Amino acid sequence: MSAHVSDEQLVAYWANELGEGEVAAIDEHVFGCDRCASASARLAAIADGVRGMLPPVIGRAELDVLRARGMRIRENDFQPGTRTEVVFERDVELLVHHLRGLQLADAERVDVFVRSEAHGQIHHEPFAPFDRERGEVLIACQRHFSSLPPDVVFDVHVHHAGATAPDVATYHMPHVFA
Amino acid sequence: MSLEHASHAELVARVADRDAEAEVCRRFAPRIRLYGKKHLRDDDRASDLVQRVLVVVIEAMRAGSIGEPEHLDRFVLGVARNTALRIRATEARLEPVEHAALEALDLGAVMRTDALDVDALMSCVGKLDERGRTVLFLSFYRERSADEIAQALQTSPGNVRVLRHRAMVAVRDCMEGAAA
Repeated sequence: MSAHVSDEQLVAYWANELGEGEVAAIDEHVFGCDRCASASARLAAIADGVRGMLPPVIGRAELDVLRARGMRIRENDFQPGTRTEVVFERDVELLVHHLRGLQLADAERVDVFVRSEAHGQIHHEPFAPFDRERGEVLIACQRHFSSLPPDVVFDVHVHHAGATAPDVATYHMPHVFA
Repeated sequence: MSLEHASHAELVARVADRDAEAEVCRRFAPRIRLYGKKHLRDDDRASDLVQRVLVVVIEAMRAGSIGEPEHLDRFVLGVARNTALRIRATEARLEPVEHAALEALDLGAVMRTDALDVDALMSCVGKLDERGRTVLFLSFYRERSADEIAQALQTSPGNVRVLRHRAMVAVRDCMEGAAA
C-alpha cells in the first residue's frame, strides 16, 4: 500500500472489519506516514469515545458498574400497557427504568424502539441487552436526553425462536426534567 | 537543534545521540500506541508496548544493529508486532519497564495522551441522524458486524458501511469544529 489510507478503510480498520492482510498493510503504511497516522489516531479516539458512552439500553453488568462508581441513580419499575409520568429530579444523575413484565425465557433477540408520541421514532436499538430471568429490559435515562421530546414511549420487541413476528410491549413514560 | 525533519537514516546515524533518540521516541511512540490499541485492545497494554518497543529500538540504535536505517519505521513495526504477541500471551498486565536505556530520556511527553472532550463527543454524536447514531453504537459499543447490523436495520452490509463511515467523519469534523 503506497497511496494514503482512505477514511473508509480506517473506519473499517477500527471497526475490526478488515482481513489480516488488509490490517497488516494499513499498519505498515501508518508507521511510515505522518498524515495517515494522524488520521487513524483521530478516528481511533472517536471509536474509543463511543465505547465509553452510555447507551440508552444497558445490561445488568453495566448497571452494577454504574452503581459501583457511586452515581446518584434512581430506579423505577414499569409494567407494559401503562402510562406513568417520570420526573428527572435535580439531585439525580441517572434514571434507570426497569421495563418489566416481559416474556424473555426463550427470547432470541430484543429490539427497543424509543419514540415520541407526537413526532415519531427517536432511537432504535436492535440487539438490546435483556435480563432473561427477571423478564426485564433496563433503560439508562441520562440528563442530556432533556433535549429530546418529553412524550416518550418505549416499544420492546421480543423475538422468539420460530415466531414470525415479535411480541411487542409498550410503555408510555412522559418525562419531566426538573 | 531540532531533528523534527531529519530522515530516519539521519537519526539512526547519530549513534548514542540523546536528541536523535528523543526524536525517535517522539516520532514513533504515538504510532506504537495506536498499534497497541488495535492489536491489544487495552490502553494499559498499549502503554506497556510503547515502553518495551522503545527500549529495543534505542538499544538497537546504540548497537548500530539496524540493518536498513532508511526503513526505521519497518524495524519499529516489526519490534511492535513481536512484542505485542508476547504481551498478548500473558494474562496479567506487565510491570512498567525499568531500563537504563530509557532513564535518560524524558518519556513523559511522548507517553501523555490528549483526553477526548467527552461533552463535545456527546454533542456531536447527538447531531447525527438516528440511523447514523444507531450504526455507530452498534459498531463500536455493541461491536456488531456490518452483516449483523444490516439484518437488524433491514438494509445491506454495504449501506451499513457507508452509514458508519459518514457518521464517523461527521463526528470527527464536528469535534474539530468544536475544538477550533
